[in-house]
Amino acid sequence: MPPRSIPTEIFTLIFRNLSLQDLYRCLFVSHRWHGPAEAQLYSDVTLDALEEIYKPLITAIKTRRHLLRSIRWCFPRGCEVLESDLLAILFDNRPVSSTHDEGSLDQQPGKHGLQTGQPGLKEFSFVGDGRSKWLLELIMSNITTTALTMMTLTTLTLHFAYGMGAVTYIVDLEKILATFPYLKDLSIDGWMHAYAAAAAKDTVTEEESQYRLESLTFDPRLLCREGPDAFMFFKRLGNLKRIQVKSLLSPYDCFQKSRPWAFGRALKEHCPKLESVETSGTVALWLYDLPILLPSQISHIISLTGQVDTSVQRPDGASAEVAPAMMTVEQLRQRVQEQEYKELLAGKEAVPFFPQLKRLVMGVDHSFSFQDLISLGVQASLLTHLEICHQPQRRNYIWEMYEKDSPAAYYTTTTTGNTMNDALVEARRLRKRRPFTKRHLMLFLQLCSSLQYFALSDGSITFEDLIDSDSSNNSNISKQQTTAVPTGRTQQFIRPWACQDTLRTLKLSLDMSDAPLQEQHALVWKHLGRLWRLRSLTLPESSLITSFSYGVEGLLEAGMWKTLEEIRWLPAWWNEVDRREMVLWFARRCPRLMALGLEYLGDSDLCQFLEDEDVEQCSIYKIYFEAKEFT
Amino acid sequence: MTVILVSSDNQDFKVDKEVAERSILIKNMLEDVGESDSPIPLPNVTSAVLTKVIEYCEHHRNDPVQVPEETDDPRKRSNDIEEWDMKFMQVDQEMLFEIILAANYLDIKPLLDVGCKTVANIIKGKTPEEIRKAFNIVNDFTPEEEAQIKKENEWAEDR
Repeated sequence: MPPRSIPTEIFTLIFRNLSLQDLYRCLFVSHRWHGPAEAQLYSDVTLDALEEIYKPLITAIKTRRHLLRSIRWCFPRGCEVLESDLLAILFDNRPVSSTHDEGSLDQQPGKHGLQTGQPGLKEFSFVGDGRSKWLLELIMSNITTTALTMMTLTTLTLHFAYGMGAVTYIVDLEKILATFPYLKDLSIDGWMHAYAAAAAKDTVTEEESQYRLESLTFDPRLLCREGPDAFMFFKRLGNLKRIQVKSLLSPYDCFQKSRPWAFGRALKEHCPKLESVETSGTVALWLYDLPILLPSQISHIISLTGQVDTSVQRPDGASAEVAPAMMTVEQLRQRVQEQEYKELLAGKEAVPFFPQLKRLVMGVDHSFSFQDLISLGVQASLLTHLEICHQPQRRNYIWEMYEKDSPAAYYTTTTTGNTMNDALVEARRLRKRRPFTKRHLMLFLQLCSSLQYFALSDGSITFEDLIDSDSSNNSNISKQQTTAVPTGRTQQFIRPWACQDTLRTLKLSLDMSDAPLQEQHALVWKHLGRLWRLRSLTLPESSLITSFSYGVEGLLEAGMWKTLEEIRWLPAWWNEVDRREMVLWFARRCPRLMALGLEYLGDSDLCQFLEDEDVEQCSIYKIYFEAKEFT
Repeated sequence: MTVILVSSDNQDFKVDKEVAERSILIKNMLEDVGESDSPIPLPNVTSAVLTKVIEYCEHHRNDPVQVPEETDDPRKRSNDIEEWDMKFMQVDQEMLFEIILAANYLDIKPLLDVGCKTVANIIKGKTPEEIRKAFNIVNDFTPEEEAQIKKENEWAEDR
């Protein structure tokens, strides 16, 4: 049957599955086929080709602009882009002066331009480098005046590849937002660009409607904006759901100049729907507002300093014997931190910048602090997804940040005459952040009750990080809730995680080098087994021993066998017989297990068993060895 | 619970509600009407086509509701048709297009997708002449028009 009666929308659905070459051939089939094939061919265009393809493509697009829905412009190499070409493709070719008459503008689209109301370009992405900077400038300076074609954009992506040269490209965020009223997704990142200073106050008034933007990707330079109006543009971004900060900024520039407090407060005030925050690279972002305290508000801390014996600090830094009633400076530090921890646990002082937070991803070089982590555990009742990199940041720039705009910052509290004590008290007063430890992460997991996804990268949890023991001060937990190992006179146990009923995915490296005993491994397996609804378990670079003598049965005891679908990086550095036994055991016990990834140790002899008949025929669909590099 | 579907040639088809509701059109109708025994007329679908459509819905009655993958590049979605669906679609061309039209009318997106992919697979790798032959189409371009198309779209020829 000649598909003559097939409506155009069906043609479009069929042609979506074809390559450019196939679409090209469809152009020649018949008049009926030509239209939909052409529409598909020019709906999604990538301009990154070599010269011989690029020039005829430009020529073809010039008369088919109405078909364009998505353009990716990746600095065409080795070819000269003419300004007139660019304008012919992206803009109406009307003289700029005609835009003064708004009324007639809508009636007179450009020569090859759109009729008002026609669907237009939806996606535009530009990857520029030093040579193509002028192109972007041309685009950006024209969009505000003549770009009827681009008015309909819903996705705009600007990426500045390395080598923009010494000249910085200035991004005018307010102007972009005003130019593309339909924008839902805006992404600006890369090298060598800066944000224009915030527009004057009169551009934002209460009456102005909200933009549709839902997703914003930007560079931390935005957080360095100065002035009271720096983050005023968020006032019209009430629909924002996701922010992503992608950084290539140096730590010095980032942490010296960023204003995470002002940024966070603006988002809290204006973007109530924000639920996803993601960072990668050096980013100064705070999740909680901890306003600076006045000296009168920290009298309880100042009073602690009175108990410090300052007379015995020796020049070499070691403290000499002190009277039992007196503290060393180190002990004072601990007391101050304990006291802060208690306040954070009470959840009164820290105010969330993102009260609706569901998804948080903190990549390398983040500024995520102990204070933010604990507050998140106590307060973030909607948080379901956390990916975090534990990379002890030793750069002081981060931990020296405090709210420099606050008038309270300029009080001084000289109390003891001892500079070390004063620095401690002052840091507490200024609410300086400090890095979290892996132990704090475990505390977080004991607090946060809504998590479904938890992944830790760049850091291993040791047995010591996991356990508590009876002799510790905080052992007021009920014994029924814990799994315990008697080691000598003290009982070691692991506190349950608050998310044990909700967690579906866990990715964690467990370093057991500090715990060689079989009971200790069994304790950890049993602890993991509490996560009885887990679907995916990944244990990269872990030294937990997967065998019956080390208590692996504990993993499935509480019911995880019913839900487990995937195990990755299962530690497997013992002999082939045990490996085989383990694989078959998991296959027998876990009916839904589809994929089992074993840690690869570079010895192919140990992999032979995968070809055995019973292993090949077991219920696990895919059994394999993980690639060496873990990502 | 069962519902009765009536084809354009007035044949009744008794099917489980769960199966019929693979069609979003029917699902919405049932929701609007509420509990009712009255048959649902489908004037755009013949009994031969409806038999095939019901066969598909029976087989996929337990599939999870599809999540739209709008962000994916459609061109990267390869011809990933399940084996059963592939065999199901081994019908003559007239029936193939009838199934597609019915899936479109009844709003059964997975069936529509499979149908369109099947047609795309017939087109793939063929010359214009081979495509015309496959679908019994007459070439209505003049040689001048063909030359013009070739000239204007040459960039795509080898991509």
